[in-house]
Amino acid sequence: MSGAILTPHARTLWLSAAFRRLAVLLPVVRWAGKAAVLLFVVSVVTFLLISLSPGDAATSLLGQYATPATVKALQEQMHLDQPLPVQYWEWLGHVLHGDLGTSLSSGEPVRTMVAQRIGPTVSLVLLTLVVTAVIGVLLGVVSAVRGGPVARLTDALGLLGVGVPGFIIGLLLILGFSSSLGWLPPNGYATLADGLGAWSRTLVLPVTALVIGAIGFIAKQVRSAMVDALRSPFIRTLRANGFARRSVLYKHALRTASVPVLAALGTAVVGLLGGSVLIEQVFGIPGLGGLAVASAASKDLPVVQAVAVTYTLLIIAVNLCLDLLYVVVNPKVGRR
Amino acid sequence: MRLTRRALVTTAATVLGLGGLVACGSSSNSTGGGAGGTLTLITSTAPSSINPLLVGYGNSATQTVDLAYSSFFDWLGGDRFEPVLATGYKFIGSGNKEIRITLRKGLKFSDGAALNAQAEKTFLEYFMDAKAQGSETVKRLVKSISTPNETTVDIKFTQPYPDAPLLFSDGGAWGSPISPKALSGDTDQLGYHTYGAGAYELDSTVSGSTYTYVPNPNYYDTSAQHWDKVVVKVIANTDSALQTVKGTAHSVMQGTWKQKSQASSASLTETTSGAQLTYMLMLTDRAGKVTPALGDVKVRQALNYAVDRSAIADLVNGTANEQIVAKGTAGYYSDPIYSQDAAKAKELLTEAGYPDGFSFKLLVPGYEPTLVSAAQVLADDLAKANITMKIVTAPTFQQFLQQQSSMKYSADFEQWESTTMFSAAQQLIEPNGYVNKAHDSDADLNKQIAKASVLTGSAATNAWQDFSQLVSEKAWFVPLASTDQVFYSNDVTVPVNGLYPNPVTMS
Repeated sequence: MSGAILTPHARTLWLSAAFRRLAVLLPVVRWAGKAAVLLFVVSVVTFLLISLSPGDAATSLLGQYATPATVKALQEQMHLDQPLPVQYWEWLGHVLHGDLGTSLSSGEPVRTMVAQRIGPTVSLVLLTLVVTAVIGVLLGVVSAVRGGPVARLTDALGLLGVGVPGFIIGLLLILGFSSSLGWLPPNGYATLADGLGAWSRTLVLPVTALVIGAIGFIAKQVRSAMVDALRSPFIRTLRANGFARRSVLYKHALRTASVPVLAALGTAVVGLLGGSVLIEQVFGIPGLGGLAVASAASKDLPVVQAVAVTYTLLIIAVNLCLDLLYVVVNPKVGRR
Repeated sequence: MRLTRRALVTTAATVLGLGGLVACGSSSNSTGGGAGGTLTLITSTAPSSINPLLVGYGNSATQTVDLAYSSFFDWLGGDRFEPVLATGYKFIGSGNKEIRITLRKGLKFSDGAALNAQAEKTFLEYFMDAKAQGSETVKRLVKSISTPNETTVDIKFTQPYPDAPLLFSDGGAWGSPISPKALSGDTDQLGYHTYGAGAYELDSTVSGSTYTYVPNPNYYDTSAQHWDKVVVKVIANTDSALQTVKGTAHSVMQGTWKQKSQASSASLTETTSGAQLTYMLMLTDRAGKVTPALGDVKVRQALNYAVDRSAIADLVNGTANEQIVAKGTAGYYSDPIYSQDAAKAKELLTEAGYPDGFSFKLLVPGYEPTLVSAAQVLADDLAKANITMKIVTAPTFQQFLQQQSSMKYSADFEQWESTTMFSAAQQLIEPNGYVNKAHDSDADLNKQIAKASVLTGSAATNAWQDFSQLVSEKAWFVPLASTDQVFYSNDVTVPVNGLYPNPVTMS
């Protein structure tokens, strides 16, 4: 382009090519904008909830018998005596430069604390998601096609998931498989570096507790979507044209049903992340949930903020992956 | 339609895959026995910080400090101290106002800096300005610190302080110095690194979850380092913690009395602490500003007559106690003043001008279920003497602090860690005692404290006994029962001298 003098026609062609390229980026820009707004709102709400509740990190650290003078001095050191907007602005300024700050309780860099804890939570939630998706889809397909006992099992699982809290299920699993039978450890977490077997042993019970809570919901979503798909005219056409039953079911009907199911999985992830907080407490897993609980109790604001933002980023990331999967599963979504 | 083979295989793979991995997973947490190996300390709460000046109270706090920050002495109870980093102490002159501590030669902190008299002086000066819980006490009590030579520290107090050795033991913080190198650098690191002269140093941590310690190569007594690794693990659920101790060799936890039979059937060893927790109503409204009746000593004595200490003792698996220190402490008097007597309580109330009784509010930490249960038992007892005690529970520690500071409640219910009579006087009775938030003052009590503080030996014991009786008669508190702490261990010896066991002594 440089050095050349464009004719009006060439200029028009160049401009429309540029606009087409920009148009491809627009959804990405829109998505990034929404994510930024969501992160901002979450950080403000978290900040206000922690700041406006009784106490602060100084009183938490110094304990019951600290003198008012000592508490005041420590509050000043921690900048907790500053007006709330100033405190928030300082935090935001650091975060935008990639600095999550230091823990008010331990002085440890918040980034290190989050980095140590994110692995167990992601392991727990991803593993649960995969198991839930695989078993949920199979249960849903079979119950849609066969009905009968499998459909009733799906309904029962759904009821169990809604009616019994995950941590109760977790405690019962510990009682059965750990205390009574001694098959699995009651708590703790081994990293992948400790070996795949050790890692999975520590996750069997907590994943099972979360799966039981989520599987009924996914299976019922799959069943409902499959029933709709199987009733659609194009499926009847395929069957009439002699397509193999397996192909009709898995290649065509399930593909059509997968879009609402992916949406359900996205919703389930939010529930799993929330449920994982209690499950981590029950099973002693050193994940983000435990960090959230401990830092909220001690009013450790930088840590609470970082954990809330991390959870939000995880949800955004999972939903982005699911959006991309929509396109793979149903290319018409991408073209739109 | 039948399940296809592919669907069956997928289902089987998913459901059984984890089971297969379970089967070939590594074995449970057994470690080698004898010298070396790993000691696992299970605790229900994480320390608020591992900075020894901000670590707080409780088992986890004590353990994390004891591991990395050895003290000058180990307190064996009473006036018995075992030398650790120091070889001895003596009071200089009369009146218990100056103490000389002699350190061992050649001591080093874990970062290689020398632990000598100057290092201790540097630490105490830092402590005074540190904005930590004991800082104001250090500032108030210390008149001067001098270091006549490399191993001698002389401290002059602003007032008689017979418990000075306790301050420098594992029962206090003054004698667990932090390296001067660390104090001159970024002190934020004290919250997640250790710079003490303890047997171990912090190697790695997942904050709030696990703290792994390894032997400190600069420790003066390598024969005391029994373990290759010491891991402090936080498990909030005590039943889950018991299961972990059951499955982990060389592990210890602080448990509850309700777990005794479970622990026994798992062949765990039970050890009780040498010191105690006392359940006590702190009558903070002695001036009668919120509840005028409590300004009258006869009303407060009536409360002491109305309660059934035996019932509370049964509830907490302890022994009835009407004093501010536990039985066995020097100065503890043997014949109780109070017995449960509702009629006597009513008589005292009538004499004080409350023939129909009175009511007051009690603040209870709602996150301590035993205190909540005990408060309900107390309310029933007091009702028999026409005293209405309204229980207000604070659901979180922060809310408890906030409500306690508001001074809107006439009393709160606490577990008080056992200590010496002098320390109890300092903390609970002295007008500037950190528990005496209303700064109440009683001339008789102050006079008796001043008298007992300058005495030694049997004269001191007798004077403290008189003091304890006076405290009971003045009825600033309603002590109820004292209980031991209980620890369950798997294949490890747990010596307990104070309220919590020192992990360095476990083998």
